[in-house]
Amino acid sequence: MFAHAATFWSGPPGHRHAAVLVGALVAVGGVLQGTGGPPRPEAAAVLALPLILVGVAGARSRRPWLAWPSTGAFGVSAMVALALLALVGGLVPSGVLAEALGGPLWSSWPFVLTLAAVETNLLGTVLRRPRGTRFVLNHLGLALLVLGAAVTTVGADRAQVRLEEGVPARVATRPDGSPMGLPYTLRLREFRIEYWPPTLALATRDSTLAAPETPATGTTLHAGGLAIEVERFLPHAAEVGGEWREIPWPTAPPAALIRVGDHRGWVSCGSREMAAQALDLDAHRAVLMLPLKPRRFTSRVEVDGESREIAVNAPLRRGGDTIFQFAYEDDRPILEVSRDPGIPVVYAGLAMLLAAAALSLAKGSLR
Amino acid sequence: MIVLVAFAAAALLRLLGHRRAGEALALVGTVAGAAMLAGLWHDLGRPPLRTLGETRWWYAVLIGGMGLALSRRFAAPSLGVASAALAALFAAVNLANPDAVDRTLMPALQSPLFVPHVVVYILAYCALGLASLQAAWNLVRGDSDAALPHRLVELGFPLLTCGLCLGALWAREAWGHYWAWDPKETWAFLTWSVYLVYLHVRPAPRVRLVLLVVGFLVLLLCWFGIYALPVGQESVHTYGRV
Repeated sequence: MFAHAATFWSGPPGHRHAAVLVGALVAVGGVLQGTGGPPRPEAAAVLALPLILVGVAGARSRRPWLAWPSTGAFGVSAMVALALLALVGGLVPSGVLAEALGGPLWSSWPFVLTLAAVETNLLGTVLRRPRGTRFVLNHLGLALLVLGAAVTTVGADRAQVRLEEGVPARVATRPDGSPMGLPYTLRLREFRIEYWPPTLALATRDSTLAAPETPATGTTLHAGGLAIEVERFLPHAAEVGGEWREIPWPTAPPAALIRVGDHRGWVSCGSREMAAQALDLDAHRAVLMLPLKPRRFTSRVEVDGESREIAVNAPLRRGGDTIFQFAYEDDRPILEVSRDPGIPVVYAGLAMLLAAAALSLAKGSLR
Repeated sequence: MIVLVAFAAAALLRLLGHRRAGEALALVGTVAGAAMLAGLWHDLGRPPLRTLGETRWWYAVLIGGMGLALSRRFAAPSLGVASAALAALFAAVNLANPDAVDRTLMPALQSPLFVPHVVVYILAYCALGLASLQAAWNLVRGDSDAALPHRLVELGFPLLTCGLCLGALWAREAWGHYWAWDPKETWAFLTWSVYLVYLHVRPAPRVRLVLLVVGFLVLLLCWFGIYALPVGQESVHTYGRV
């Protein structure tokens, strides 16, 4: 057996050697995870950085074993290992994995060490044999993505702030409950929630079939083969003694008086203050108004006296902070403050990958 | 229905060797499908790219058009058959399971990156789907020539990379994370990895063909199958449920 092993390792390094070594690296990661739990950032850096530096330093060496981490064979094995770990993460629910590993798979020792192997290969490949612009953009871009992700993991800071109208906020709260000081004052001036028009639907035992049309007075909607006539539609209404009446409150729910065959009655999606109402057709079917879906929610805030708006897909950037419209609760906004030093590196990597992809399409297989 | 009939007839005619008639019908299917999508976009007041059913219609139309163009470009009649058959299949699935469409678009989807991200992904899926069908067809015939499927991967993989990168940029603007290992993201990474590895290995042509078939199965899992997996319930990328 030893003779066989000696023969195996005395030959030129190739795919099989790479598979064995990357497999061993993942196994070492598993042992570290099993004995000491998930890696702390400094421990991961102490172990991964030398591996990367040694691997990259040997990239231009003429000795096959020194240059080997920067070869395609090593890269393929490292990528296959990463993909297999991702496969585990794509099949097993995150809670089960976190319980088994003592933390998320994506910050576990096996994953971190495999990423280090990928990074070594990417950087080494560029140093060893930079074959053209596309090649460099692809490999360096991916290397920057991995580096940026590492910087994000180690250096990013996130915290949430719940704003009340007019009340100044200078502190956000991290997920662990600790405070994050803000170098500016946030003051909510207005929080607006706009909703999509309501949707009527036929609910059966098995399914809920929405009518594609928007309800309005005098219209006929169709759901699940039923014609739903809307006799009256009230955009904001309150229920008084079984009847719904129009009221001028913007937070009041919509209601509609509908007729389906011989059945006639009010339906409403209700609100926090008002109970919902459906029209029963028989024991198994009812027409109801689905809960309103938000179209847009926007916080108008004052940041150190300057008026700005924050919405989903429209965050506010202030110094090194990016402030996102995260969610809302009880008609009050929850903002998330993100400080991520990895973002410029990640964006540079994404730009390089996009440029490489554009070059590939321009010069690729169609020509 | 016009789209389904046109593509099904196009596939059949091309299979029987009637190239011109098949091409004409594939063109009819593509134009009719494009007109239907444009009408849907107009009626809904939003891009019809939100639900799985809506993306399936895009896939049917784009793969029909792409197959038509590429079969001429590469002088490969089999691509014409495969693309028209796949377009007809997707149209049939949609007609058998009509989507509950509505006008709503959740705030996260209201981004300038929504349309480019999804359309680029669908184009990538079209090219990679054709590559896999061609690979499967070659395997069935005992033909180990991997040249044409490889050229299609060379077209599809950069598109897949673009879709992935645009998705990361968009996720950062919408949610504050460029990558969160959400199940859908994990499977998108897996799909990308399979094709990345394919492009970096040089096994026997027959093994390459098998890899392409596996790649498309992973892709389909990422697109549809994930919602049937236990992890699928954890994904935030579910936009079509009532």
